[in-house]
Formats: sequence, structure tokens, C-alpha cells
Amino acid sequence: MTLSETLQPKAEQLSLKASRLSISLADTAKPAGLALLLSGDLDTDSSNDFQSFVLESLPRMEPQASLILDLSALKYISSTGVGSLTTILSAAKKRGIRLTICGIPKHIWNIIDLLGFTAFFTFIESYEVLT
Amino acid sequence: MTNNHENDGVEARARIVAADIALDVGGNLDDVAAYAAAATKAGQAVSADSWLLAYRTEPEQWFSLTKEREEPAGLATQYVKAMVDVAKGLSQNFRGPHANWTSAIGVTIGEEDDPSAVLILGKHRLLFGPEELSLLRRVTELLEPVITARQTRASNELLREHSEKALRRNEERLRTFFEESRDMIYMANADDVVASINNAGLRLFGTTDRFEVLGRPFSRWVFSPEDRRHFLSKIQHDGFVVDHEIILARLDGTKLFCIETAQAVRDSEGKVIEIQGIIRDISERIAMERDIWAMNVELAESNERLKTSHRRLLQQEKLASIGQLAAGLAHEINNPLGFLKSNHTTLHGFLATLHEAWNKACTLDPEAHRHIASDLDLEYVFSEIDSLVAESDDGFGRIMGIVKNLRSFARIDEHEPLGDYDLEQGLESSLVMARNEIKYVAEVETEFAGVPKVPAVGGSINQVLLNILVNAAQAIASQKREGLGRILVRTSMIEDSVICEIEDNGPGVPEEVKERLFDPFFTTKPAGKGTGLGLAISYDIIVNRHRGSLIVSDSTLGGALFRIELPLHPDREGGEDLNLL
Repeated sequence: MTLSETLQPKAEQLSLKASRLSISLADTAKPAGLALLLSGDLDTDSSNDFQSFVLESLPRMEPQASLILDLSALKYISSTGVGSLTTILSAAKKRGIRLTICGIPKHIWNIIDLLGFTAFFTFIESYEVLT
Repeated sequence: MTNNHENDGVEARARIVAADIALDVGGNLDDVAAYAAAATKAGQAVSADSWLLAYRTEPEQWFSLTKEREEPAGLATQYVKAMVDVAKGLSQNFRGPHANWTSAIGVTIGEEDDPSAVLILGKHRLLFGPEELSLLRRVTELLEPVITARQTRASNELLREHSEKALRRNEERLRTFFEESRDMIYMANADDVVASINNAGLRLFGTTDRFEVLGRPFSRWVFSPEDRRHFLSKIQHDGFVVDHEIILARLDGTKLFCIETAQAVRDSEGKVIEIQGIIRDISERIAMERDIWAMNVELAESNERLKTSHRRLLQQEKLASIGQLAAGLAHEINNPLGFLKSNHTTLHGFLATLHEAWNKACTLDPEAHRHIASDLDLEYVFSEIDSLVAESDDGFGRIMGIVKNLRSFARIDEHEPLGDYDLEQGLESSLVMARNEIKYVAEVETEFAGVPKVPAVGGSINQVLLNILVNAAQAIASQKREGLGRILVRTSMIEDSVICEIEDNGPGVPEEVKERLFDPFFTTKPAGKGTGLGLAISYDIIVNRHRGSLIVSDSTLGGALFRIELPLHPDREGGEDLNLL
């Protein structure tokens, strides 16, 4: 089973619980690793669950692997949501996993920028999914 | 003594009098005027000289009206009691303020023992007859409903006034609550146009002009209009939002992080007609949280850098302790090696002397010496002496080379200063020195970019280059191949560093070996061929002495790629301070 297949059930569970946020997973070829596609709202309620999910999934990844957060379908982010992203970033750094963000909508970027965190993250244009 | 005929007469008269008084009591006159009118007419009906009316507006607060003076005055309750006695028929006398009657009759209004009013009528000289008393009583009976209606009307009026006052007070309270609340309270219509807003709201928006806000869309004040649309769809769907984050954008450009709780008001068909919300400024809390998040990320990063530094420090310590061992070894070996070499040289000299002596002796008695020579195979002995000495010299040379390596490993030459080093020139001379190892094994291609000089200890860098070139040649030589292998030597520049890459098309370096390649005494060569110190020393020279980097990876040619990076400004290195020994 690929990593995305292993984590999929948990992601679905989370999507049911935090009814305004859903996550789907994909294994990536370039860069090699895992992509998380978020859609909906990353607000105070859903960001806690999202954060736990990612933090639990990180130990299953290889060191130096890449973790991409695809935010192209994200509609809303609260400051707590931004906080959860930074927590995930810290945890990834500690494990040597390279975290990047792809497809961020402008208004979401504005909020991350307003909080002063755009310099902390690496943004990429696109990625290749493993077929 | 009454008889029916007389009763009918009283009844008829009573009705007439009552009807007349009813007009006053039931009409629009105020209480005092109505009472006075009623009392006057009642008095006239029974031919009284005077009347006294006592009434109360509150439980123990009695007032009186008299014929002579129709303005109300306070009345002591003891007189009220006396009046009640007259009304009950217990007395016909009354002595009180404005009244001193020997003949008095009276009636109570309301309950006899707890009346709301008492009327007594008096005559100065004459007496009241029973007919007059009956008349008075009957008139009172007939008027009862009218009086009750009047009193009810009065109490209703009072109640209404109370209610209105209470309502106004409540309105005031709510208004104060709305206006003085420290949180923004606002109301907007279904299109999110602001209909009302309190003072705190104006303060949060950063304006003093209410009309800057009223009648305009709320989204005007929101940093991200998409977020406001998101809020509106949520409130449409759920009917309310709780603790929804909203970022306000004030007129002066500053942004405020706030939190909003709001509800939608719907009409009977369920359509939203109004949005009512409370917004609170949480900028301070967000600022604190934000700082904590930033600190955590920076901590994680520092942690990583520390780990890397730590690894390098450990490596250094390993090297340092091995270096001490090596220094000790070198010293121990050097001493005996010294006199071995010198003795060897002396021996060689002595052997030469002996050979000369023998040759001279041969000339004295050739025949005898020829015998000895062939018995002892002296020809062979003399011919072997030179090659044996040469081999031993070679051996000594090699031991000295090893000692030199050990010493350089112990960094006995650390105090050599950095000079201006031309990398490309160094490569040229190293290629020359390695020519013997390379020439039958591989072809060398160079791509020199013309890089500037760097601060370095030239001899040490050349030693590194030589080491890597020789390794490349030996790797290629270890393979069975047709024709010559390839060695590529390239220089380039990035930012603040000069890069040298040496790659070959040999067998390459397996992954598990890459990890240990720079470890001291690690070697993949068979025993006797190399000490395994070369790359450890090279690593030490490049990384520790020159603050550069030395990395091995896979070459696209199929073999190994060694990449040396030397900074142009080694003193200006940011990040870790590698505290050397």
C-alpha cells in the first residue's frame, strides 16, 4: 500500500468530523513524497483535527521526503488555521521533511502575509502526482 | 315610619338625584371636582347645611373636601374613623375640622370597614329625618357602579402610566447597553448594509462619523471580502455564527483581528431580513499567539542547525582524538625510523668500503680471491647489495610518507596562514603530480571557468586535489575495461564560493560506503594499499581548516563525483561557529 492509501481512511474520518474541511491524499513523483489536498474551511474547529492528523502522519514519512500542502481548493483560513500550518512546519523541520505549499489562493495568502508568515514557508507552482 | 307610598317617593327621588350626580362622576371632571359636585348635590338633596368628604389616594393618606372650601386638605385618620361611625349610624354627632354638627348622616364608598371615601352631611340646628337618611343611602347605592367604573378607570390609567414609564426605562437601559458596550454591536440588512452601529463599532472602525458607516456595506470594513461572503453564506445556512474570525481594515490602513458572534433574523417565510452581530477586538491575543508560532518555527530550525553542528563537532572530536593518537604514533615511529635511516645510510657506505677493499684485495692475489668469490657467490652478493639498499630506501620512504600523513592528520601544520590560492593553477600542478597514476588509466578533461583566488593553504588544498585525483584513477583501474576511462575536472563559481568538481566513470561509490567515506581509517582498498586517512584528512582540510564543503555523490558518467566548495570569505561564515580544537 502506498502512503496515501494507508492514510486515506483517517483522512476520510477527519473530513466527516470537521464537516467544513475535507482532505484528500496523493503520492507525488516530483518532488517525491506525499501531497495533502485541502478543500473547504480551515477554521478554529477544523484546524485542530487537521493538525493532529498531519502530526500523526509525519512519522510515517521518509526523512528528506517532501510534503506538499495543496491549498487550491481552500476557501477560508482563520488565524488558528495559520497557526496549525506553522506547527506542522515546525514538526516537519524536526524530522527533516521538506514542507511546501502549492496553489495558494490570493486571499488566503493575504492572511498568512498579514500574520507575517509568508517568509517562513516555501511556495511551489506545481507538482507531479505518482500514477 | 315608612309606608310603601313613601318608599316609592324616596326611590323616585333617589333615582333623579343619582342620575344627576352620575353625570359628574362618570364624566371627565377630575377627581376633586367630581367628588365636590357629587357631595354638593347630595347635600342639596337632603337639605344639609354642610358636607365633608374624606377620600384617600393611598392606603393611609386621607384628604378632605368641604362645602366651604373645595381644595383638598390632609385629614387625620381619627376624623375618618369618626366619620365612618356617623355613616354606620353609630353617632349623629361630628366634631372635626370645619365641622361641628349636632346632626350628621353619612355614607361610605367602597367597603364599609375599609372605605375608599366617606361623605358626611350636617345640619347646624335641625335634625336629619329617617327619610333623608334613606334617600342618601339609596342614592349612594345607585351610584355605586358609576363610582366603581370611575375608580377602575383611574387605576387603569395609573397602570398604563406605570407601564409606559417602565417601558421607557427599559428602552433607555437597552439603548445604554447598546451604545456603551465595549464590543461592537451592529445590525445590517439582508444585503449586509449597516443599519445601526454602536460607539464601540465606530471606534473599532477608526472613525467618529456614524454616517461613514450607516447605509454602506459592511464588507467595506473587512480586510478580505471573500471572508465576509463566506461569513454571510454560513449565517444564511446555519442561522448564526459563533466566534468567527474577522479581520477589520480601518480607514487608516491598520488591520484589526476580531472575533464575531452573530445571528440572522428571519421573516415568517424563513428569509433572512436582518443580521445582528457583536464583534470583539482580539488583536492582542493574536499578536501573542503569532509570536509563539514564529518562535516555535525558529526553534525547530535552530534545533536542526544545532543537530548538524553537533554532528560535525562529534566528527571533529573523533578526528581530534584520533589525531592525538596519530601524533603519538608518528612521534614514536619517527625516532627509531630516524636512526634506522641513518644506520642504513652508514651501512651502505660501509658495504661500499668493503666492496672496494675486496676489489683491491683481488688485485693482490686474483686466483685465491676467485675461489672465495665463487664459493661464497660474491658476485651475486655484490650485485644484490645495491638493489637491496634501494628497496630499503624505498621502504623507509614509504614509512616516512605514512608518518607524514599521520602528522598532517594530527594537524601539526595548523598554524600555516591562508594565502591567495589559485584553484585552477593548483589543479594543473596536482594533475602533473598525479600523471603517473593517471596516464595509463584514464583521459583527463578540464573545464576551467576562470575562478578568482581564494584564501587557502595552497599545499593542503593541492594535497586534497591529488588525493581525489589518485582515488579516481585507482577506481577506474580497479575495473576491467577496454580503453581508457574518463576523469572530468571542472571549476565554477556560485555566490560567495569557488567550486571544484572531479568526476570519473569508474564504478562509483555505493550508498552505504558514501556515509563512511570520510571516516578516518576507512578504506575499501585491500590491506596494505593505503591507510584510509587520505579522505579523512582531505575532509578535515576543506571543511574545518577552510570552512568549505566536501561532498561525494553519483556522477552522470557512472562513477563518483567529488565536489569541493571553498568560500571567498571564510571568516564571514554565518551560522555555526566551529570551535576548532
